[in-house]
Amino acid sequence: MTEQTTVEEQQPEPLPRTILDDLRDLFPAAVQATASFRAEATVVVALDSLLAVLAYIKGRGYNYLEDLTAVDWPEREEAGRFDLVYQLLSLATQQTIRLKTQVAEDELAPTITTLWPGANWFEREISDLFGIEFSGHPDPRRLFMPEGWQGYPLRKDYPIIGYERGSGSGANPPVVHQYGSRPDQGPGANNNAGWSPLAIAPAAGTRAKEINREGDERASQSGQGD
Amino acid sequence: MSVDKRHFRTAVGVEGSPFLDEFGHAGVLPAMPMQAASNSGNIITANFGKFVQWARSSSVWPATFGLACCAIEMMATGGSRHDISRFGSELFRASPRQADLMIVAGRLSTKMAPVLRQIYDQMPDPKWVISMGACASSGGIFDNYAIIQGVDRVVPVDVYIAGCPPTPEALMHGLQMLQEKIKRNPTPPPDPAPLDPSRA
Amino acid sequence: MAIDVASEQLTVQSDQPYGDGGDPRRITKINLGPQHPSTHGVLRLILTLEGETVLECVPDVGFLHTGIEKTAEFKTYHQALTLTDRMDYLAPLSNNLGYSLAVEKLLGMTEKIPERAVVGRVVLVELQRIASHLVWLGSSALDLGAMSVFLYCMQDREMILDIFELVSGVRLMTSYIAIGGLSADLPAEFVAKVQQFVDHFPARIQEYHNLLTDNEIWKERTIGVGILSQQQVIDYCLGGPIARASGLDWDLRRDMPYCGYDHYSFNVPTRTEGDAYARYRVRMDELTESHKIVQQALHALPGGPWRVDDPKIVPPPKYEIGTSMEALIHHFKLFTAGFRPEAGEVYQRIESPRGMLGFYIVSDGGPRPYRMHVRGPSFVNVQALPLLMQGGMLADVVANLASMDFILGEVDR
Repeated sequence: MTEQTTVEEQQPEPLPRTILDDLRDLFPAAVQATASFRAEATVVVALDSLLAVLAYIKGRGYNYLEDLTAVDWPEREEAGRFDLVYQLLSLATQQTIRLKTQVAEDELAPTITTLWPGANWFEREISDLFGIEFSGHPDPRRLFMPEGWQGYPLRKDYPIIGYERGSGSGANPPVVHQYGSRPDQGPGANNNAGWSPLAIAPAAGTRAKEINREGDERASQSGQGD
Repeated sequence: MSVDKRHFRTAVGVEGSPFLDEFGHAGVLPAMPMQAASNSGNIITANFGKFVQWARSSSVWPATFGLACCAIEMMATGGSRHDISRFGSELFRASPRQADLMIVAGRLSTKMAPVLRQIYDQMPDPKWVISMGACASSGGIFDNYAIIQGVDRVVPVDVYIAGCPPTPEALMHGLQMLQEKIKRNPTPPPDPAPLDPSRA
Repeated sequence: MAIDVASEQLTVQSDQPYGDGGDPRRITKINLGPQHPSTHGVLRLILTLEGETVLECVPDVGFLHTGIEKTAEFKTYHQALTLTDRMDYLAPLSNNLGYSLAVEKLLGMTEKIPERAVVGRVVLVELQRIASHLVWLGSSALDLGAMSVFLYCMQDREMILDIFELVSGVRLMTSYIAIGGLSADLPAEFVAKVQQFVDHFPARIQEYHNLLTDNEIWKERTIGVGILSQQQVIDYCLGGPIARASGLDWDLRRDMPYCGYDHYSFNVPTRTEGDAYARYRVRMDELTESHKIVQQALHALPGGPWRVDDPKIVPPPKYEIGTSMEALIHHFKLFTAGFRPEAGEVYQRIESPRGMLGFYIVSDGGPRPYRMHVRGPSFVNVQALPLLMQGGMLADVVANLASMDFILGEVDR
């Protein structure tokens, strides 16, 4: 893997041209940064050259799209909040490369389904969980969350337990009705009330439910549960 | 391993007498013919009642409702080493219309909850629900936005089985517990009325 | 007010651009799943049919979305390991391996994993591959009508689960392949028990071949069904047995080896037809190859430590906590605060029974992963389902679902 690890190291002899050198020559404005960590090369490109750079890299033999995902850096103000990460693999040479681009919160990213039709669901997952929209996407529906869901769960400001617990103050309607267990009846009924840790609760049931609900409300108010 | 009741949702009621259930609703349990039959002194109806108890508990047909990992252990329970069919649950019916038991095996996500309710509603009475595994009983290790914290928020549950996933032995123990429960009361009471969703 | 499942999808639409302009009532839209015995999990397919022919197939996923990636951001690296078991729940040890290798890469300790752990991982992961393929085989056969195969597969799989129970105490969600090696030592009876399975298994593979491979009904239902071309495999990011059945000779264990796979000799079965029968044959041959690898690895299993001896990262063995102050402190720190890797990002890919499983972990220097993304092979497999279904018959839908071998836990995470 000498190709990717030469980026940051000082070498005494001139090394063969790597794809990173070619990228920097062909797209001088697009390549914003390169990095190498644990023998993996990462290239950060500008959003508007993303498609061109990807097409070029695909033409250079990186024909397999391994992964497409996003990372949320909400404290990052100078560039866009989200990182879009494209992990590419060359089946012929087993070389890999990671491309990143930065997308702001309301910015449109280009779809790469023209290059790889398989990117369709990857982009749908990102727009479902992060809220990044892809212009030109053939099927921009939510993938995991129910249709009509409000909110983007994988953003860092979305609390882990969501907004729908407790008092149901979230934008999404609650789907739960709270049935509990069906009581056991008949002779020898086995309703194990004895070992309750809430045995201090006066009337079994109502008060305990309120305690439960309070706990959910407190947790949802505090934001990030752990 | 298996518990028959979630402790703080006990409704202490006596047949035929008024009570306040855990939702604060007043209700009177109707005197069901089968229950009356099992308690009465008449030798023919008492034996018929016992027959119904035996029949209903010994041939509980589950509906396939495997959601996640627990479904794999449910499949293993149907395999030949653990063999759930020796307890009468020979056939896992694909259609809920032909099933008496719904074993909710796995984690219930927000998108799946209405489907669960719909399948439960499609099952004809008498029907029972086993909540298999930690995720079905309480949300399990996933206390987050995506997983409903216990299927008893969507359907009433008869037996909870702990485990992640419960071993086939645990599932069979839970099934036997359910069979005891069915023998005690072959006709389960009607579903409690749901809470006002804004209180969920 | 419940969220509507999809009532708008179930109406018969008369303005469909299908058919030859004949009676539009011939076009039916039906719902397969999410509760269905043949969908192998909670998958919903919205099929547009004309008679028995599938005109369009739209998969609807998300019924098992568990928020695992979000939950991992709130767990330490050791805790997040237990979440990975539950994604591809038919091959939890594979997931554990992928995650552990990714975190070890992040920590830069890939070379330091002791030999016993490396070889033990191979044995367990290949046994897991066999177990996963057995469930695939059993449930596929069950879907296509051959019930006995299901029972035989479950019985053989029980032998493998007994081995897992021996090493970790748990049949399924072992979390046994941990960061730094194995979470506990392989017990003394391990080699004998695995050898017993290894000796017993070839006859079983032959039995499955006898039952299905030349079975007329099986061949009728799978030959020519759900054909995928090699170009489609690359375009749709498929891998694993599905890619190999379409002619793409690619196996991460041989081509980008990890965990010492380059020390074992095994073949990579490929076929060119790309239909369901080819995928069946590839997975059946993989059973034999995995068996070979288990045999070789078992003979190569050395003694010695089973986990990296770095107390800042790996919790010390439990028996030391009562006697060693350092062990107690390290244990305390690791389980309350967790270790802090360098800031950076890694991508680790392994060959899971379903295809290429990838873990992308971003660290910001804190004790919890800043982002853990799992690239599940089943995700792309389900995305490619319409390619197989469209133009086929309704009965072939079941054969295609069976041959794609996806697990919804991995699709939805």
